[in-house]
Amino acid sequence: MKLTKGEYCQFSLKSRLALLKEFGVLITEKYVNEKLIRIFRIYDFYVEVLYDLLNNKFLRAEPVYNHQMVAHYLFE
Amino acid sequence: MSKTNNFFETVDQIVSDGVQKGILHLYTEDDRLSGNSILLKGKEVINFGSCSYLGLEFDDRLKNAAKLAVDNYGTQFSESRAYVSVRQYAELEELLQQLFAAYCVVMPTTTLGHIANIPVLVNDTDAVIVDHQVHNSVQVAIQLLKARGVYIELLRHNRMDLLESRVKQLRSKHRKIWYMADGIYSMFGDASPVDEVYALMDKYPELHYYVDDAHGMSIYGKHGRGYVLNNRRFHPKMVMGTSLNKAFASGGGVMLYPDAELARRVRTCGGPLITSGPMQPAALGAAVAAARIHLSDEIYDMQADLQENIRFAQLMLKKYGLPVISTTGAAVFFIGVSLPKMGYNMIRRMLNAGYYLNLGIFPAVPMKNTGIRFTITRLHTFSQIERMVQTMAEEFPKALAEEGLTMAQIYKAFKMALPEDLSLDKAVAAVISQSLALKTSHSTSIQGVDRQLWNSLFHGNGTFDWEGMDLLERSFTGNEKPEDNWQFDYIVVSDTAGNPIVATFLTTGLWKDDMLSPGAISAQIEARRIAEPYYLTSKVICTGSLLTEGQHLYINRESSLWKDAMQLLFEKIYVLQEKNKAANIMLRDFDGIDEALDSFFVDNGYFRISMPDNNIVLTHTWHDREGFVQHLSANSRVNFKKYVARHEGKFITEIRKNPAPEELDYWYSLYLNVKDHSLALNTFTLPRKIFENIAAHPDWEIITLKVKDNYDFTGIEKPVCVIFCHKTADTYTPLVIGLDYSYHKEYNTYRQALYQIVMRAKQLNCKKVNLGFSAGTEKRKVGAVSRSTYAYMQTKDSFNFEVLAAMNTSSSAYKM
Repeated sequence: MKLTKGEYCQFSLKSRLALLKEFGVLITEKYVNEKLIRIFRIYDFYVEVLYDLLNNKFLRAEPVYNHQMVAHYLFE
Repeated sequence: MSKTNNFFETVDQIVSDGVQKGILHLYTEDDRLSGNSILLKGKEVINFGSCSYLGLEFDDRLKNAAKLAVDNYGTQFSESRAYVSVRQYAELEELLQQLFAAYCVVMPTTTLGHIANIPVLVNDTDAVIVDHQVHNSVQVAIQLLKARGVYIELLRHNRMDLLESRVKQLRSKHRKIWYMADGIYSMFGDASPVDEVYALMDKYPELHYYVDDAHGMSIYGKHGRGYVLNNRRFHPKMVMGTSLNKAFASGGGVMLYPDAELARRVRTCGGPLITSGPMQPAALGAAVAAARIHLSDEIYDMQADLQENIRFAQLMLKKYGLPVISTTGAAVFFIGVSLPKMGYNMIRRMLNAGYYLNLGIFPAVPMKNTGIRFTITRLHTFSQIERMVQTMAEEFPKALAEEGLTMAQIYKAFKMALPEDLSLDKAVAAVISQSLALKTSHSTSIQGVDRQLWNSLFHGNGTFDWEGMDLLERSFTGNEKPEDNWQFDYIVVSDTAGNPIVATFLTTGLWKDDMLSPGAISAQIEARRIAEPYYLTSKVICTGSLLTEGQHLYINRESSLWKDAMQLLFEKIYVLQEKNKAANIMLRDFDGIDEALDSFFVDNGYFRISMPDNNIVLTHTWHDREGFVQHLSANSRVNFKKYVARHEGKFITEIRKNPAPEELDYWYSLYLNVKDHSLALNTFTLPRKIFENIAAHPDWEIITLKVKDNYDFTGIEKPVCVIFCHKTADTYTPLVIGLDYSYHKEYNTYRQALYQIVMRAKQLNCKKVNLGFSAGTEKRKVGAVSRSTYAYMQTKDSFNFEVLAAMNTSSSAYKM
């Protein structure tokens, strides 16, 4: 059963990553200024994951509200 | 059979049924356990029944500490803690004292902790108020107080308004009033209203709180102190027990106190701390390691992980539309399925699909509140949780269809509003459930039932043939007192050819809940009923009535449709139960246990109870008085000669009809003597009207026994015994007896009456004398054979029965 963006956001960063691991599909990734940006598709939305390569740390895993941004990642 | 035996008999019946169905008393078959999957009956399943909510049982630190402890201290240090404890105890108690910021005593189990605590903490002059749903381990310890006559009463679950009103009433008589409850309740996962209890303790100096927080331990609060202490101080009037056996994952229990003196006193005087063995070194080692984890920040990550799993499970349950009974955020979930058959069905389906869940069934919950209980641990993945919930949602409608139930019935059983999207389901189910093969007819009076049909089914079974029912209806309607007015319902389920498959009559009336309780308990309750006449009474809908005995339920077992017909009858009974606002349903009287019927009733949410034995005399094996005497057993013959034959000539026996009003008044007074004399079968007093109707009815006659003048030492010249008897061609049924007890001891009037009944039945060529319930020993002396009789019962609310079960003769009082 699908979670909505709002429900997804109720979870901690650690759980959001676990949800992506279990239910998400990696769509694309990109390196920008020592950061790894990954886009996952999960349920009916996309999630942007930001990973700090210098500190080996996940910074965020937020749903993408602006779909143009996904297009930007996908077709750039 | 005693109430206690009845209880164990019921539990045995239900649990054995579960064992037979392969869902209880299971064993894992794994050589090693390492995660949340277990091998059951050769099948790998995900375990959703573990109470080790944080998954610490597989933590290497705990495992290694346990192994090291065995290496260092052996498998056991077998000495009472009153003498010497292994050094790990001191270490563990010190760590736990830090963890809880309270004084503590470590126990081998939480149950033993309660047994050590409660008798020491509670004084004889204290009062104890017990939450209806408090864990069994607390209830076991409370039993020890009963022998001391401590005042104990049950409180409806979590009702703080009632708690306050009881405290107000009890505080003038008791220096301390203990409220005993769970932090998180083990079955539904709901919580004690701790803030409200704290507020009441602050308001009333007498109120103290004894709480078991086993299911809250580790998963809430600073250092995992539990639900009760989550963001709360340790209240100075609180004593808490909690488990190291669940999320703490080691073993043992810990008892916590607001001051050192209380802890010292329990440590010194608590029974199991003097005479029982200690925790094993391995468990102590693991507990020390677990305590260290709890005292580190790591515990908060673990708690957060678990909470995320709980949150995910809650979301999934909501999305899949399952009937969740409690949503408190605890790791225990309960999905309502209402009847045991649905519970068995679902558990079996889930096991087949690879998920092990618990069945929440009687006595943990009322029969009609059966449910699927499952727990969420930190070891579950989101996918496992979703797949389990998804499977449950897929299997649920299949099980409902298989068991002939609807979602609407489940919501109704748990008194929950039906979600809007399921309203259609209710309407559809009502249409679908209409059977083409069976037809139900219902009448609220025997006048609406075909006399020939009714008598073909019930004539000769007892006093409830068509004419008998007419008499009962006239007697128990239009009366002043509520207990003297019954609702009558006649139900016949027939096949398309009009052949009855199932037929019965039901009466709904007010019953005393202690009807089958020991007389001593009824005596206590009757004392209270002087001021509150309807204390511990309930409306009951039953097959038959309080004044009829015999096979009230006709079932044509040769019909292939009998189970379907019974389901229709159950449906009709539920409708009548709602309409008449009856708390309990009772199906009576069944001679012996019929395995198929027994299992069928249990599946449909009824539990079996033993009724008093029914006593029957068969008269066709002898011809005259001499033959009767010869037919008795040797012992009974001796008794007969000593107590009956010796006095036979002192009595004049008459058969009477149509008495004058003043004569009937006198007979009624004899009945009242008997009613007041014994509480063995405690019922409301019968109205005079029934005696008037009986006296005028052709199917009834009255036997009177007078003492001859030369033996009449009181000179009252009136009957000393009166018996109201129903007669058919085959059966003679004495229904009510009245006695003048002034002659009873001298002339054994009751035994003489039994003998005269049997002789009268023989005179009328009746083959069977139905002597009814109670006084089996006396009745066997006139040749009666006792038959075990059972009833099947379903309660909407078991509270009153639990109040009764909690009572015993040594307790000073039990109230609500």
